[in-house]
Parts: sequence; structure tokens; C-alpha cells
Amino acid sequence: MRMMEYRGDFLFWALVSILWTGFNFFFFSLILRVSDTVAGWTADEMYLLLGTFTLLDAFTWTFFYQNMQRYTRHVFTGSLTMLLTKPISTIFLLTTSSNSFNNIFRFLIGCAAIVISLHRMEITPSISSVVLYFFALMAAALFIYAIWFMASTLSFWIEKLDNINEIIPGLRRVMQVPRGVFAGAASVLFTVLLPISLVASVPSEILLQKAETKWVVWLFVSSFLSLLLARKFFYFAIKRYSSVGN
Amino acid sequence: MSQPVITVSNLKKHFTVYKKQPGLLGSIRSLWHREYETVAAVDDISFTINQGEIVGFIGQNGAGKTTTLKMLSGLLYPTSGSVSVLGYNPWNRKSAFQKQFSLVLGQKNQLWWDLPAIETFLLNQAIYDIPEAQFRKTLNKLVNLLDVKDSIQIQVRKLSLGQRMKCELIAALLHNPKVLFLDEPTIGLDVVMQKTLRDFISEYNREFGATVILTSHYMDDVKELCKRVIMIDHGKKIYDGLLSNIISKYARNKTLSLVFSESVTKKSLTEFGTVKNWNGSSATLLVSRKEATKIAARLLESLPVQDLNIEEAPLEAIIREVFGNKAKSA
Repeated sequence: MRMMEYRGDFLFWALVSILWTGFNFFFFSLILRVSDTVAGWTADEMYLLLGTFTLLDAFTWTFFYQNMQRYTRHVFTGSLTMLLTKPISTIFLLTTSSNSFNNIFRFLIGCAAIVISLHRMEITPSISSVVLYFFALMAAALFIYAIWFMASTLSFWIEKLDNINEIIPGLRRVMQVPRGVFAGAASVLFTVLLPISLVASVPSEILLQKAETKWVVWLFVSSFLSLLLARKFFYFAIKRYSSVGN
Repeated sequence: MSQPVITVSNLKKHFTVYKKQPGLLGSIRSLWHREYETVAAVDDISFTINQGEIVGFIGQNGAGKTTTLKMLSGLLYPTSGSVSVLGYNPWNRKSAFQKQFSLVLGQKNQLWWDLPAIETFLLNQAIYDIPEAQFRKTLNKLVNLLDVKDSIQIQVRKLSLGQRMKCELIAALLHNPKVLFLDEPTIGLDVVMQKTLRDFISEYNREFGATVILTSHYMDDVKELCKRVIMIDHGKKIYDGLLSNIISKYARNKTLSLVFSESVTKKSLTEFGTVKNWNGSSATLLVSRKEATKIAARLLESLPVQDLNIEEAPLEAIIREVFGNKAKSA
């Protein structure tokens, strides 16, 4: 609502987000010209993965990016003070105070890429697959939210932590490739310890009917655990809050 | 007899701050090594406040007033000590407690900058779970009292400071809190607006019996609203009692304003007290408070006094002297 008060800004960033998404698809199309597959994923499967990533990214950008920026700024400037007095979960207030709907067009592009890819591959997912796909997307979104929130919570110690909001989006490079790309230590890190590589891969695999149960379960479990941890970490950190001088 | 609403016992809050040497070298050095020191922002204070009281918190900048309010609001965890507000431990932050108090920080706002104030009011209605009928009734009353009907649908960032403060107060009072913590609510406002806000706070206290703690550097706020004040200096409570008793406790002098029927020399006045002003036909003397009546009688006998006025020293001057003396003796 606040962003739409500034129409020019809204339209400009909508355009930027569309162009960014277009460049992303273009970048992968260049790779796919050189190689038929990426870690065993065909071109259509890759576009479906990119479509899923775009959906997820549009969602996290819409609902998380501005809030995480504001979160670290609230701690630094002391404006967290006013949120802490409200009779409502502070985490909820921090998480939902701002949305950026200028990513709505990316959301539509992502949906289109998924539908077109499925059509080209002549795959009609079952209703159960579609339902599981959406739940997996939600779990993925919650996982991203949890690690982003925990990283932003470090601002209670580190004070000025603007760059954390650039590191987390930087992990998007890991999110938009198949999990099979990673090997060795990188695979352990991005699949098991910090399963960022599962967030777009697993939902896509569900639609493509090639998902492995263990990774589906691990995506849901790690989302749940990371949410719990994020909450505990916040309530531990809040005791350190010292506001700022008047 | 009113029940205590706020009870503070041996409250302490210490902050750890670091000192940095000036300049680029100092900045580089501070990446590896920092000197920390502990600042006692609130240092063992205790007091109780009964329902319906409006209590002034007076102190210099950095005395610990706002830190105390923040602990009473549950925003900061104390280093030690205990606090009870409306029977709750504030830093447990129970929503039942948070629905009964409000904190207004004059230098911070809760209104959303990009949206009209009414949007924040509607948000607060949802957060505080205020029934629609009660919300409309309270909102209309507050809007009319503060005369901001034309302002609440304009972007907050486009409002004047006075209009914003009025809307801040409305946002803070929509849920009819029983306890109000007002931290410099009139800061930066013009004299007319200050008076408007003071009248409003007084009216709110009268109508709802709300307990109010007010911090302000404007003595008019304290004089008009508070019968009782708590004075804080360097985190310690140095006075807790009636505002009127500050004068009898701390004021050392009184001011005698004299008008003469005939011209009087300055020298003839010096035996009575310190001459602050003199122009032959009138003068102002500073005399010992205890001797003021006797000195006035002697002046009337000895000099051609046409008019004589005895005044207490202004409250601001007394408080300034109190804190000034504390600083010198520190």
C-alpha cells in the first residue's frame, strides 16, 4: 500500500523487475545453447525450474526484502521501540509491515514459464502433485524467510548490518540451479546443512514427477526447524536491545 | 485511597559503551581494540505511583528519564531491580499488559510516514482489538478534541509537526490506555500547540483517570500538569514529592520587586540584599528566603516604597540551580 503511494516508483521498479527476469531467462538460454542439459535437466525442465524460482523470488522479494531491510534499520535507529510496545507478535510486525507489489509481473512471468514448459513437455501434473508443489513452495518460502530473518537478527550484535540484505539475495544464484549441480562439500553445504539448493529444485521435481522423497521431507523438516530456530534466536537477541539515546 | 499502579524497586540499568579515538587512525585501531566502559543510566531508583496521578520526571539530558520509561514499558531489560505496572512485569510483554498502556516518544513516531494517519489508526484498531463502535466513538472524540479532522487523510509526511504530534497522541490513545508514558510530547511545538496538548492530557486524565508519567524539559508542562515530580540526576533519584515543595526545599532566595515614590540610590539598597536591577525609581532585590518578610518590613520602614512585591524564584531557576550544584559537587 505504501509503495503504491508513489506511482512513478512503483511503475519503474515493476519495469526493472520484468527486465531482470527477462535477462535471467536469457542468460540460461545462452547456457542451454552450448549444452543440451544442466546437471541432467533438459532445456524445458530448466525453464520450469526457472519459472518456479521466479515465482519464489517474486514472492520473497514482495514480502521479505523490504521488511528485512527495515528490520535491521529498526534495530540500528531505535525505531524498534515502537513495535515492541504493541500487543502483537513483534516478529509478525517486523515481517509483514511492508510489501512491494511491483514484483507482481515477475510472478505472472514465472507462472507462464511453468505452464509453457509443462505444455511443451506434454506433462499434465496430477492434482496431488500440484497441491504438493504449492506446499513445497510455501515450505521453501518459509525456509528463505527463516534464514533471512536470522541473518537480520544479527543486527542486535553487529549494529549496522545493511549488507546482510545483499548477501541473502546473493544466494539466489544457488536457488535457481538444479541441486545436482553441486558436488562434494558444496553439495553437503547447499543440500543438507543449508538446503538452499532445494527451494526451487524440489517443487520443480514434484511437477516433473521425479522428486525423491528424502529431499521433499528434508525441505519441509528444514523449513520447520529453521522457523523454530529463527524465533528462538529473536527472543534471545531482543534482550540485548538497548534502543538509542534520545 | 488509590492503589499503586506502578511500583519500582531498586531499578538499575547499565549500558556498555565503547570509546573511540578521533580520526582515521582511531577508526582503524578500533577495528582490533576497543575500550569499553559501563554507564549507569539508571542507578538504584525506587518509587510508586498511584492510579490517576500525573507525575513529572525531571532531569537533565542523559539523566535516565527515558531509560526508566523504556523499562517501565518493557522495552529494555533492567540490569537489576523489579518493576510492576498494573500488576504486570513489563518485560514479559504480555499482550494483556500492552493493551493497557501507551508510550509516546516525542522524538519517535508510530505513524506510517507514507500513508495518512487514518491508516495507522485502523491498524491500531486491529492490533489492539478495539470493537468498531468503540473505535469510531473514541476516534471522533479525539479528532474533535485535537481538531485534526482535515489532517487525518493526508500523508503524514506532509503534515506539520504540530499536526503530526496530535495524530501521534490519537494513535496512542485509541485503545483508552490506563497508563500513559509521555516522553517529551511537546518537544519542538509552538507555545499554542504546547498549551493545546497540555489541556488535552489534563482532560484525558480527568475523564479516564489515566495514570501519567511525563518527562519534559519545558517547565510549563510540568507546572500545569504535575502536582508531583521525581527528579533524576545521573541515574539517581534526588527528589520525589510535591512540585510546590521543591521551592521550599531548594529555593534559597526570594525576589523583591520595589517601586519608590522618590528616587533611591543603589548604595542604600545593598544593605538589604543583592541588587539585580535598579533605575532610581524601581529596583529588584534578591534576598534570603528565610529573611524575606523581615527585610521587606525594614525596607518599608527605611525607604519611600510605593509598591512592593515578593516572588518566589522561578521554578526553572531553582531546578537549574539544583542540577548545577549537583554537577559542581560531582
